[in-house]
Amino acid sequence: MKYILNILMLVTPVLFGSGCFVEKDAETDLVLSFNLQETYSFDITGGFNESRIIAKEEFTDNLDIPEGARVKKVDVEYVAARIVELPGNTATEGIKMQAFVNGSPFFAREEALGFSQDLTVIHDLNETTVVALREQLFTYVDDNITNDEDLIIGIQGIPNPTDKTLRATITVRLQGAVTIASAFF
Amino acid sequence: MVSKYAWLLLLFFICLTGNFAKAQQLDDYIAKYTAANGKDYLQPLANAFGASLNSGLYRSAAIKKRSLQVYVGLIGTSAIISDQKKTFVAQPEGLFEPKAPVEVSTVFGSGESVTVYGENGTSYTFPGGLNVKAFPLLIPQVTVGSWWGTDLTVRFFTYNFNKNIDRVNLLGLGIRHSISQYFPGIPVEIAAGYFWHHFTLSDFLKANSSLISLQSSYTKDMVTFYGGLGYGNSNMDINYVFEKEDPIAFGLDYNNNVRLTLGIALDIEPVVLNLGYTLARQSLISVGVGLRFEKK
Repeated sequence: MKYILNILMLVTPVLFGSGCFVEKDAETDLVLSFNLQETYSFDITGGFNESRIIAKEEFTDNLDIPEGARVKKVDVEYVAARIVELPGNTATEGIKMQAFVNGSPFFAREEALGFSQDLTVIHDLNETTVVALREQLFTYVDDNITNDEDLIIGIQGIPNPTDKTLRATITVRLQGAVTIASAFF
Repeated sequence: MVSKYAWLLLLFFICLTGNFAKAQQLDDYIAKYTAANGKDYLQPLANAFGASLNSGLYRSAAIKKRSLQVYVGLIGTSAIISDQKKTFVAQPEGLFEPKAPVEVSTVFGSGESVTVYGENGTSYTFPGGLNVKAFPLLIPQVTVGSWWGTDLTVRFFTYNFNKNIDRVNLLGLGIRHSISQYFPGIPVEIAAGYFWHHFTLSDFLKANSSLISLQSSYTKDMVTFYGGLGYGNSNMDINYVFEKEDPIAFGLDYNNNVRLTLGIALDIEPVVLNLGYTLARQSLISVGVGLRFEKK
């Protein structure tokens, strides 16, 4: 009897004394999504060239990275664009456009895009620009690196046909994620 | 915003100790998934939670015909997380391509993330799990009887934490009836019971479970050997926001679950200690510490 009692006395604190039975100090990788989305409005005839500045804080403030977390990597998952036609538009074929990150071409070639309410994924990206963008975003979120340089995303293009008036909004969306490692307990 | 604290409070509820100073927002783990991957990511949690609620409900099948019998106790259960419950096959979500299937962690799995690579420097990362080896739950329980060989069980917990979590509620109700009272002279006690639980964590998580069981016990001096065959069902409804934009809601079921329970209880009046093991698709251990009062 005393033996059984001893077992029960032993099992109870062991069972309840180890929290959620999580390996202590084991790190877990969290993936925090972000998107950088810019929408430009146009009412023009001829080419267009616009850019937006994204400050470091604008990127980091939306991520909510916990204190003490270790940033492991930044992913660029996809880049997509959408052109929504507005009343009075005569550039019926859409546009030909290129996007830029800090002045470097984002697309491997100029993209011809038609009007759509849905985002169209840009499949041919310029890998050098993608890698540079990942590295810049990593410096924004890694505590060990200081980089206060702004991120500049721009678009440049021309309506199709070229002599027609473009009345439309152009949205460029960059979807990505930051992977951080943190001890849960 | 509600779910920011909801996961922490769920863990607070289920974990008896642990350093929450470093605890992360668990919804960040699943926020990468829509319902397709999210269901598989969280299914082991639904299984463990449902199985745990349906456990530790009895430690004897003895119910007197008409006498005051009261048990007040704390029931601890621990679902054992096997290796096959730690991974599932997922596909990248959103507009990322290619949609190649890949083996990744469930909520209980390895903490290591898994990355798949697309073209031109694009990549997609699946979150890791919590490195969980077992899933404990602690539940207060009161059982009162008996009327014509019938007793009632109540499990209850409620708390309003803050403005983000307006409620955490657990209500469990059960009824048992002695079968052996109709067969005088048989050497073992037999009872049949039905138990039901409802758990809510704000609007983030709602869970229900039910169990029908046939129980038996044999007592020799201070020691009771008990066992039971049960049939349980449970479900869990989850609500959260995908990639900070799209609300996601889905349900998880853990149904048609036949369970075999074996246990031993030690009655040192008025203290009752018990230890049980339930063999099922989600196996678990249960431990009870309580006080028993009985009108002689």
